Amino acid sequence: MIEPKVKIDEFVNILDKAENGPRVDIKEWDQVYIYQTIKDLVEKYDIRIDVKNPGVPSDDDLADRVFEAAMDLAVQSGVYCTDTQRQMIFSRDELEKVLARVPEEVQIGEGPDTRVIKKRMVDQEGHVTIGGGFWGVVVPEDMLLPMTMAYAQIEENDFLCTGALRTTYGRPIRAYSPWDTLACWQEMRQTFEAIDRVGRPGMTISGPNTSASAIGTVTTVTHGCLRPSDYGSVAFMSELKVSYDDLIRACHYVQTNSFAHNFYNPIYGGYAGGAEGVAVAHVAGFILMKATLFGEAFNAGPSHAHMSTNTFPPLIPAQALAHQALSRNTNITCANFTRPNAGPGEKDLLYEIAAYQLATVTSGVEIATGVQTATGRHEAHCSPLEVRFLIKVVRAAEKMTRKEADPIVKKLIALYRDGQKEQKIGKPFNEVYDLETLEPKSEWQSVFDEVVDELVSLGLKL
Amino acid sequence: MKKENYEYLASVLEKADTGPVIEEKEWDYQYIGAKTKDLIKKYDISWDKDTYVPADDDLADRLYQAGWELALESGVYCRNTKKQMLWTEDELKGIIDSGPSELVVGTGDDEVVIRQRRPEQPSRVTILGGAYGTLIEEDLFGAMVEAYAKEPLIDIVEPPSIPTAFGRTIRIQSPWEVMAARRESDLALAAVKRAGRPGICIGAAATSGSEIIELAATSYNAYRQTDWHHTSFVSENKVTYADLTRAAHFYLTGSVAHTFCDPIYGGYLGGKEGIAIGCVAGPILLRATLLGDTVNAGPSHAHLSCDTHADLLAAQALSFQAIARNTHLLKGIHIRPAHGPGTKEILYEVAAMAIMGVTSGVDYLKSVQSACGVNMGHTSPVEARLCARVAHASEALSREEGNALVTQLVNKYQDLIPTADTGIHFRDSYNLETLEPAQAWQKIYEEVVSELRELGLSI
Repeated sequence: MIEPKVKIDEFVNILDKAENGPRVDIKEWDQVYIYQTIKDLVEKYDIRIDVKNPGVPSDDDLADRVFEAAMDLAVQSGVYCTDTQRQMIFSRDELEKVLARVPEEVQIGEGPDTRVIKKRMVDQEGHVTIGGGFWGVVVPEDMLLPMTMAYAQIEENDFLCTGALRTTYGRPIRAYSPWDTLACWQEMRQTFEAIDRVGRPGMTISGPNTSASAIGTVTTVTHGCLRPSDYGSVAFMSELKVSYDDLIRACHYVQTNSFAHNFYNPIYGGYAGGAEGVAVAHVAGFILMKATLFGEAFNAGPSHAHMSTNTFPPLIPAQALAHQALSRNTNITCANFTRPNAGPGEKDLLYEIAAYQLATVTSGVEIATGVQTATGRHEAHCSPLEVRFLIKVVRAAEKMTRKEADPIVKKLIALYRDGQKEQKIGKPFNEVYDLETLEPKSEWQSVFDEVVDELVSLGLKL
Repeated sequence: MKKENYEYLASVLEKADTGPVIEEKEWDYQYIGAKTKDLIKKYDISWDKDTYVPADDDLADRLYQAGWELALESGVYCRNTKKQMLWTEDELKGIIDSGPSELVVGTGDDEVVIRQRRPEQPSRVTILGGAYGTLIEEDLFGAMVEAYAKEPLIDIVEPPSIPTAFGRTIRIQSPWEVMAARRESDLALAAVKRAGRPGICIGAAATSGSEIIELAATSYNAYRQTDWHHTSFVSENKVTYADLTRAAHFYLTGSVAHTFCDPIYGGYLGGKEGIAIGCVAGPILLRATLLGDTVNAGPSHAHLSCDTHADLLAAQALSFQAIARNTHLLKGIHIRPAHGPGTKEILYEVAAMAIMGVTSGVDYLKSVQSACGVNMGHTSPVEARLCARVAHASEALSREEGNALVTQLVNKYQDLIPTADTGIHFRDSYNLETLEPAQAWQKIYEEVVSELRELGLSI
């Protein structure tokens, strides 16, 4: 008998909070509980980020103050349930108990593809787990299988995140309809076929990504489909909001004793404010997701209000600082989430990935995930080559300190920051990869090789 | 169970999205009401009102033709999209022919095989026993399921519904549905284990909700593919996205899918002849739309709700005969008496339905949604036990013999239906320690068994 990951009374208690907490108007939530509270906490804890010359902060006291501010935010505001319009309140004692129970390692996958993810610390050498894939980029039906195989065959890719189908069996997919069920199963069946074909049947899968509703999760985490050892997904909405759909997903993961990762994307330029506010919201989000959604791994991929990317320069130190705060003060398994602005075939894509990985890996993340290329909004605009690149950078960054990474990150940001003003979406998979060999075409491979050389010349040991 | 015709499944969903747009009122009046009326005339569907188990094969075959024509020409109405879902004759024949003629349910020592039967075929019928979604207090749910599972003649258990999960209200389309799904399955699986039948097939999920509850309940640590998973039509021949989502989930998980419809007597189908046609068209369309491995139509009286009303008996008997003689669909009878536990009349109603169904060729009996299933706790395993005994005793009977028995039984309860006694709660009809019937209820049961013997049934 496997020990249940959450005692059922604890989950009932969370649902009770969503039903019975104080009623709050959503505008009041955004403006008072988020905006005003974060603003006050940034001032109270003197949180400052150098956004004019962004790099990798290495001020431990600042990181700890970010954590304290986030704890205050989590206690003062809690979580907002959008379906019931209730504030879900947690006491400091409750949250401290939640954090105290977080284990130092978690496990995913089956058989030879089992991976144990161990706690890392800031500036500490230690293996980072890789989750490479499409991360929800929409693809045509005929491209899903070869693309998935191309990602799965990367030996150092520890787990695979799926793409989203544009159609299912040639038909459009209507959200909140039975098409959700059919489409998500098609996505999963093709993903299982892909990992079988590359000889990795136990490889962990993160999905489904085709459905926007909870149906997609509930229908696929079941007999003959996703396994409890896979990397399930359930999220908060910005800022610190949860819906019934999210709670349904979380409840299903709890009931099936499945591994789940929780994610949350604070919005830069939204109610969280600027870089400092995003850092505080990021940390509070992880604490509150652990308390509300009971995940085993967590990522925040803050989103620029207009550009969507999280490699926007001021967001690099914001995320680094948040990860440092979490790494220094909790055992929470943290993942970064790579959402660059540029697309396949573009040098800028690789600069963005490198800057982001150097900043977050040296800041203590346990998992590196990506790449949601070209912000994930352009059909089939992603390729496994950027995951290979990500892995190379991560391996180098594992052995570096924040101070060593900082100057390189600053140079990389300088290389791509102006290019972000106009999105270079690059080319779709079928134009940068050979669909027969599932290897990159020479043009894209040359760009990769050139950027590797540039990084070596910047001092990175690739 | 391997189910891999994904293209067909996609084509069904496509029908729901791209068929002709029809207003629901037009559907009810034209595609159901007027069409059924025409078919009754065209196929000369009529019978002697005092016959409850007709034995006219030609009439049964004409009824099948009428049901087929209704299925083919009207199809199904999708309420979410307001579209008419239509099949070609070849499509409909293909999907009906692809249905199983025998079906393995349950696991291990508790596995049973449901096999197709024909009218008057002396072969074993499968017995489902349970409360069929009748509500029971959460704290009594486990005891009730265990009491049914302890009945040796029950092959498949159908649980009651819980009104709360962990003491909380189950809010539709909320995470509480997932909680309820697990609460129900946890309690049911523990109950059948206590009864010594861990692999017995269980009807899932019995607690009402949206599609979320069925999807969440058919997963790890909950109900198994070998259990009996429900999805249904809305009357008449209407389907919702929730039903289609359930059907897709059961198909894709390779789970046993049971599909049902409840034609309304006194509704758009009209009277008993229309109900007979509806009870043929419904199962054909259930197979085509929801890919049911088993099908059943359990008609409902517009005001009384029960399906044991005298007017409904021959309509159901003929529909079973029509389906049994013309397809290999696995079809069953759903027994919904007006009376409740602790009354003699419920046992008369159950016996009449069992004899009528078995002699007309049903493959399985769903017993018993006592007191129409609308009174909390008003069901008990005694009525399912009686159903099983009568059903097995009827396997060797002809329709004429069955008709004679049913006629006598109907005379005992028919006039009492409008003022039916809904009987007593499970906690009063059963000893909650021993999970055996209370003395008074056991005595009534034995008296009725004696009466049935006196009527000529070898029970």
